[in-house]
Amino acid sequence: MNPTHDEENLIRWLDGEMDETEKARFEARLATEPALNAEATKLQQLGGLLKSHLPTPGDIPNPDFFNAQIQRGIEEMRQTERPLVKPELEHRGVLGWLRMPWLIAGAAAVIALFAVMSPRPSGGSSEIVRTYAPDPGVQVRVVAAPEANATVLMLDGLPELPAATPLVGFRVHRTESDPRSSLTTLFSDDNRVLVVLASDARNQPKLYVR
Amino acid sequence: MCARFFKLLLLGMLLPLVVTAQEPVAPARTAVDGKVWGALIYASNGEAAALAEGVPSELKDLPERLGKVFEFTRFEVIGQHTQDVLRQYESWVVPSKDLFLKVDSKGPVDGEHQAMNLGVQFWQGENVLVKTDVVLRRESPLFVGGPKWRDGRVIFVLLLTKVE
Repeated sequence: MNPTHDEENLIRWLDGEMDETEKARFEARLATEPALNAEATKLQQLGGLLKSHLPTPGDIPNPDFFNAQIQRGIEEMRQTERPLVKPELEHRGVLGWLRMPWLIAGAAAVIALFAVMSPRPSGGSSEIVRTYAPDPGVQVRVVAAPEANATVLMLDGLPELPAATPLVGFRVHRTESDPRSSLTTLFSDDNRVLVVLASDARNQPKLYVR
Repeated sequence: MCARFFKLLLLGMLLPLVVTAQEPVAPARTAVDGKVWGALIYASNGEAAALAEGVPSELKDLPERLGKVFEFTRFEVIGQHTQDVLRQYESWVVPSKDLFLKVDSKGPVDGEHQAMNLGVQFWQGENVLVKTDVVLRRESPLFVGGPKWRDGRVIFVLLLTKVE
């Protein structure tokens, strides 16, 4: 028995790939060569065993679903392989550069660099860097309020303002500050003096209301 | 003769000083870093109040924004003050004689056209309630939840409206 050649013939014989003449010649050899015959019997048994335990192609569960999945996979592969630029643009010289990925990447890099180097416009919330309450009875809480786009300082522990005391408000239109005399004068929109504020040597403010 | 000469000389030296001292002092022009708007608000539970005149356009939705932070329904502007932020001197934001702010400029934030570093002091009469360093950005106001008053609470709002 020529191992390589006989094994190949055995497999072809088992798979039914031999024509009639070749098959007759090979079966004549099986009858006269016990070793080859034994090998053929062993392979036949092994083949039978495999067939009995593995599903045949006809045994695919839900074949329609299986086929639909294959069709879908093929379609997805086709979609992926499509060019990024529509075919009608392919031959337009001006827009042809869009098909060059390296050029798009370069343009994106230039835009990103420009964005980084440009001064940042307004945006983001105000930030509290540090706080200090001289009165130990006052607790300061910093609260971020992104929903209001604001930053909040909550002062807890302050004594209530007397309910009987009215809060006097101003609508200040104009201010004059004189650093030499530490005086700040607040004017209304009809140019009346509302308040004069003076800081003393301890930076303590004194308000003189008209 | 000699004594009389020295008296005249001394008078000649002192006279310009006296005249200068009697001249009215013109307010000094100071450099400006920016502009802020400050307001004192009374927050309470009641029918929503109409927005006061003079509130900057950036805060046309001020009651809604305050309502997201403070559990009140009515926000009434008691007083308001638009103030230049002086570069080298203190600036006072005084919408009320009772509660007001002192603002010290620490300059615009590097790389940003719309933000300033500020030292802020919140005063009640002659007492400072809190001192804080803040990076104040345009369109993002600082809300200071102050003392309780009557059925509500007093709130201070500080908004950066301009950076020079």
